[in-house]
Amino acid sequence: MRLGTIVGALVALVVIVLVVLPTPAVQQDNVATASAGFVLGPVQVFDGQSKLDVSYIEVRDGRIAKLHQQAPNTDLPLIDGQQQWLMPGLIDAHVHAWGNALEAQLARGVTTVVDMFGDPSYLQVYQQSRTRAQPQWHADIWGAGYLVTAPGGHGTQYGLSVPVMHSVDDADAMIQQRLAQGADFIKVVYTHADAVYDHHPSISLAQLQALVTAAKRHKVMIVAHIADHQSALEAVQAGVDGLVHSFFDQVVSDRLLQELVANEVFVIPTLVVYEGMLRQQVNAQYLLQNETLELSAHVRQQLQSSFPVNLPESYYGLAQQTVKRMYDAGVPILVGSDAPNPNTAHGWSMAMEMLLLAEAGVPIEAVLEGATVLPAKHFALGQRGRIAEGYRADFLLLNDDPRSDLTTLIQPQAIYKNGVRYQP
Amino acid sequence: MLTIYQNEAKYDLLSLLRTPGFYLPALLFPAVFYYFFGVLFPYSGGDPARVMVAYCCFGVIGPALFNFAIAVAGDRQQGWLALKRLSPMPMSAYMMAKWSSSLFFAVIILLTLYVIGGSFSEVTLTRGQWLALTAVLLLGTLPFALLGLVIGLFCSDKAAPAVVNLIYLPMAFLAGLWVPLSVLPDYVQSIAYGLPTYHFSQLAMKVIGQDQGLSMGVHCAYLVVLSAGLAWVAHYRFRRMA
Repeated sequence: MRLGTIVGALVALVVIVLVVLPTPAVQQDNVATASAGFVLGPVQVFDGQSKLDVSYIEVRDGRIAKLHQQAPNTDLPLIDGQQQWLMPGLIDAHVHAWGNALEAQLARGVTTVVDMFGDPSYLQVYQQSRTRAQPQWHADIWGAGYLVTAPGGHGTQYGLSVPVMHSVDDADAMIQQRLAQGADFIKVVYTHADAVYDHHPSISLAQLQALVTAAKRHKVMIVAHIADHQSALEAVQAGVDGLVHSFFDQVVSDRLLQELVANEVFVIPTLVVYEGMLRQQVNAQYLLQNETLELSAHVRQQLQSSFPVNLPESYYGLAQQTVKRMYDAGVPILVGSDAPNPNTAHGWSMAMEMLLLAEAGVPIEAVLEGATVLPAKHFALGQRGRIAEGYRADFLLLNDDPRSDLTTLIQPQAIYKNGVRYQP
Repeated sequence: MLTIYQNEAKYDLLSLLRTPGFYLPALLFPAVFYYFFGVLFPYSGGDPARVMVAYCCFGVIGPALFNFAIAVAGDRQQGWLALKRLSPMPMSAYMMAKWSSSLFFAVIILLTLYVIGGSFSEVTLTRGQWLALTAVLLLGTLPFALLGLVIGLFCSDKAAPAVVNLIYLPMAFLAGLWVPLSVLPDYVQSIAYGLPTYHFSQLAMKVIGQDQGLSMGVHCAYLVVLSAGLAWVAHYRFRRMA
């Protein structure tokens, strides 16, 4: 019967296509065997702050078991390090992760990310794997879950149904709710009441102060999203632990610098996002025009997009001066890309942010510290962000000394996560 | 009894297969549209899987709406529907036949879009996700088939295509199927909550974990209530025609 033939053919077609359609790479097979351990060397080891006097690194059970000056006598296989440079896996201190973001980050050498607002259920899923040092094909994540914002405020425009803060009295409940959803720290959005630029509604200064008090009572860190100098000043005076953006409406004032230093506040400048709004050079120069890189169409498009603002490029100079002044004053500068906002892509933008910080006048050593040791310290990420015994075996192999050339980070020669070499 | 259903389905499908003027545009439009605006020039941005699923939602609604609205309006105006109702064949066979042929085309559209997404846009989903997505997208065409039926029962055969387009295209756009809701003005989001295309696409987005986070129950309840309402309207209209 003809109908039977047609339907049969259709069913067969469905089965064939469904079988042929691409599925995510299966990870377990090739990682399981490599997890027993190995010795890697000879390599030149940069531990995130300085060069160590060791040449061989012994990895067992996903952790750095021992560092050696000479090739040790062990039962473990020896991997030839070819005198490459070994440094800790990078930590991106400002991302928004969902979907395959964590694998995309790992693929570029970012082994841990700090999420500054996302669906708490995503965070909860990956919080389980970060305490183990099992083979895995994704970066570890720490995060705030939902941010704290006003009704209609920044953060509510992305389609996630964020619980919002209505009054000062909500402060304790907001913090408790976030903690119950697994937040590792609290992120709050604040814009001062007299801001003249176009912005979303914001919680009041009194609400911000109440939140900081409540966060301190619950002994949880609280960081603030700000976009201008005055809001930054008020947030720091209110007692937040960190600013997750810098600003470009003016160069940082002496007063704010003093407050930052006195309160030991760290700053994640996210220059790469501002560079996208104001200048748009760095992606073209290092990524888009580099034909040896395999950029997917999606990544390419993200790196070429920018916020629809029309502001003079000179503002970018103000952002650069601010970062330089903050660093010179002793403010800890953490590297965060704010991916996947316009002008950024997960993984790729980490090196861009580092190059921009260096261009702004932060010494390369300090930039590298801000991408490894400092975020691990300020966000209490445990034993990571450093090459040391007992630390997680998250590290990169590079062609060159990263202290002499940050561009070597754009294409790491090898990426190890929990002691297993990442192979896409 | 089953034979009546089979035969009706067979001849409905055959009549469509003999009408390239129907199936060629119906099959090519979503594929070409997706390839140009989802793959080649994805200005709206977003994750490739999200874009593909959005175009799949758009693609499968088409045959459901058009096949019902235009065919039913035509059958009604030419007296064919009256004849069918006088025959011993149950009207449900007529409905099932129409729905199964629109599903036939929906399946082909889905496979085409999957292949385009998988080959040119780096979409990777687990086998289970591909399967679940197909099931959700096919089952979810029911409310749109009923909507098409209601249009077909009320509009003339000349008006039906225009009315369908007038409903189909804005409904797809305002539910974020072409451009993500996140980049559209806030009031579009509030409109979206009222649209079946929104709830349908959110169910599909849930399969790939990229929905807006409302519960599955809300979307299902909306679609079930809407389907029941449309079925009641269609039933009422049938009674009135008798």
